[in-house]
Parts: sequence; C-alpha cells; structure tokens
Amino acid sequence: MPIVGSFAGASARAYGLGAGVKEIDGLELITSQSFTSVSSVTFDNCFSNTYVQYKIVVNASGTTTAGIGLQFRTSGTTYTTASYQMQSLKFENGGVAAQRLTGLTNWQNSLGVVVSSRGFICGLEIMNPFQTMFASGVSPQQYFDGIQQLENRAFGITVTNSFDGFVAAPSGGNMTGNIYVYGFSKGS
Amino acid sequence: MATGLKLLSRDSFTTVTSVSLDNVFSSSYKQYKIVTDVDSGNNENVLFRLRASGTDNSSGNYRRTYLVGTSTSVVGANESSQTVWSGFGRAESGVRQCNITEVLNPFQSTNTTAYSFFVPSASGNLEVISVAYDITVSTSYDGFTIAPGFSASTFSGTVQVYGYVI
Repeated sequence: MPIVGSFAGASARAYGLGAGVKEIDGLELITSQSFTSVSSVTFDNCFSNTYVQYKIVVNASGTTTAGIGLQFRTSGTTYTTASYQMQSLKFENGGVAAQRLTGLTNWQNSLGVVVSSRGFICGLEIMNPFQTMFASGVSPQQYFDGIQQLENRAFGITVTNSFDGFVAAPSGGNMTGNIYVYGFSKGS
Repeated sequence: MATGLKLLSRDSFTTVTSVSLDNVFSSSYKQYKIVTDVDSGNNENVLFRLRASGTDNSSGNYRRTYLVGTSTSVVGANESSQTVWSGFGRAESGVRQCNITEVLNPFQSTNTTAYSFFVPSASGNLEVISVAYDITVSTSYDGFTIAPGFSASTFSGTVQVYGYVI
C-alpha cells in the first residue's frame, strides 16, 4: 500500500491515507559526532536526496561564550563565499529586537550559542540543502549569556548549490560535546 | 528502541489551487509535525484549514498571534474571527522555504492549537515569522486543507505529515 500520493492539475484535489497503510519511522539519525576541545566539526555526505528537511541538535559547552556558525560543504570543500543571510527576532529583558545580516560567510549562531557553564537549546532545521534550490533554515533557540535569551533565527543563502555537508564552528574558543544530524523521512 | 516520530502521509502535487488530506489525524497521535516543501508563482503564506469527514471548517473561528522580524522592524498582531490559519509555511516563486510547524490535538475533542516558525524572503529580503494559533471550537478533525494565499494562485511541491508517538 503506497504511502506517497500525487496530484496534478489546476483544480483542488483531495487525498487521504487508505485503510491499512503502514506508518514508517519519521525521524532518522543520519550521523553524529562527539568532540573534545575543537574549533570546528565537519560533517560530509550527511545531506542527500533521501531527505528534504533536516534537524541538527547540538549538545556542547565552550571555553568562551560564542555563537556556533554553519558553513555548507560540497565534495569536501567548505563554501565560504559571502552569500549567507540571517534574520533574527530576539526576546530579552522584556523587549523584542530584530536584525538582518546579509553578505555573511556563514549562518551565524544557527547552531546556538555555546557557553562555558551551562547548556543551551537550539533546534535548527534546514530545508533542501542537497537539492539545487535555495537552502533555508529556521532556528528557535535559548541560551544564557548573562541574561536569558530567546531567539528565532531565519537563514537563507543566495546560491542554489547542492551541498552534502557542513562545518560547525564557534566564533571563538573551542567546544566540547556532541552534534546529531537527523533527517525527516520522505517514505518510499 | 521504538521510534518517536512516524511519517503518516506524504503527497506531491503540481500546480494545484489547494490540497486536502483526509483521515490523517486520529486518536493514535496528539501532536503532529507538518512539513510543506512548496513553491508558487506568487509570494504568499500557506493557508491551513481543519477538515472533518471531507468538509473544511471555513467558519470564522480561527485565531492567531504573530511576530514578524523584517530587518530591524518588529511587527505583531492578534487576529480573531478568521476563516483560516495563515502562515503554515510559505509558497514563493523559485524558493522552497523552511518551516517548523506543529499541530496539537486536532482529532481530540478539544480546542486545536498550533505554532509555526518560517522564513519568507519576498523580494529577496529575508524575514522571520513566529505564529501561534488556536480555534474557538472543540470539533474533532481528521484532516486539513492547505492553499497558497488568498488569491486564485496555484502551488507545487510536497506536504509531509508526521505524528509523535504517544
């Protein structure tokens, strides 16, 4: 019994799961790394046509408070051109502030803000990094850099390259911990 | 170890005005994740309506609260008496934008709630939007309809529905 349906045409269409369709695992751990006192962590061949959307979870501490940026990679080469973009909404001290940065060489703070004395929560999800489309990402995150911070960060890139991996690096110091890369299953 | 998230449905579509999924919500799950990987000829928010027994709820009982970050500007509002939830992802020309969208208790006879974080980039300028949703009725819904914006435009792509195992 297929789990995948398809529509074509200009009119509204309806589709529903038929009786007996077997649900399959929806979130798959693609790869992970443990690391100790490093300035960057590289993942190759983790993005593919098998998935459209990914979730990256970081559990780490750092030698100093620093945002963890992401740069994409293709065939073992890091893409460092200034074509990364970021728009943030930040809640702190009872107020809300927004910021847009363009011409960046990485997705700044997309993987959270590592601190020395406590953890942080970051749930970056990326859409279409491998497909030759404009990759984009959303990263709701919490961290403490002297006061509690709640941010929602959006990310884009102005090229349609196919990326198969990424490098994660704090903006300063070293980090110790784990990074997990998950893919949301597309089914058969 | 059992998986915690199940893929319940994946549908692909090409140049349609809307897509309706029936029998995708059930008592087997309470919280769902919906991934819309779509593009359109226009730049519009994806609209969402709950659906029961093959019929959309198009009554004015949808509500939402949102915050939009555009460069250094922050704009927000509360909206009630809406006939649809706007912002279940984004349909844009040539871009398929990432969204994090989850729905709670659509099938249970309690007020359905949801949130969505997504990335519009109309005219090439990146934005970020956070939206919270609820509905003022406690109807049990088994499906939903998504559509690209209020105009009679079409969209293409895929929609994937996941359920968190309980």
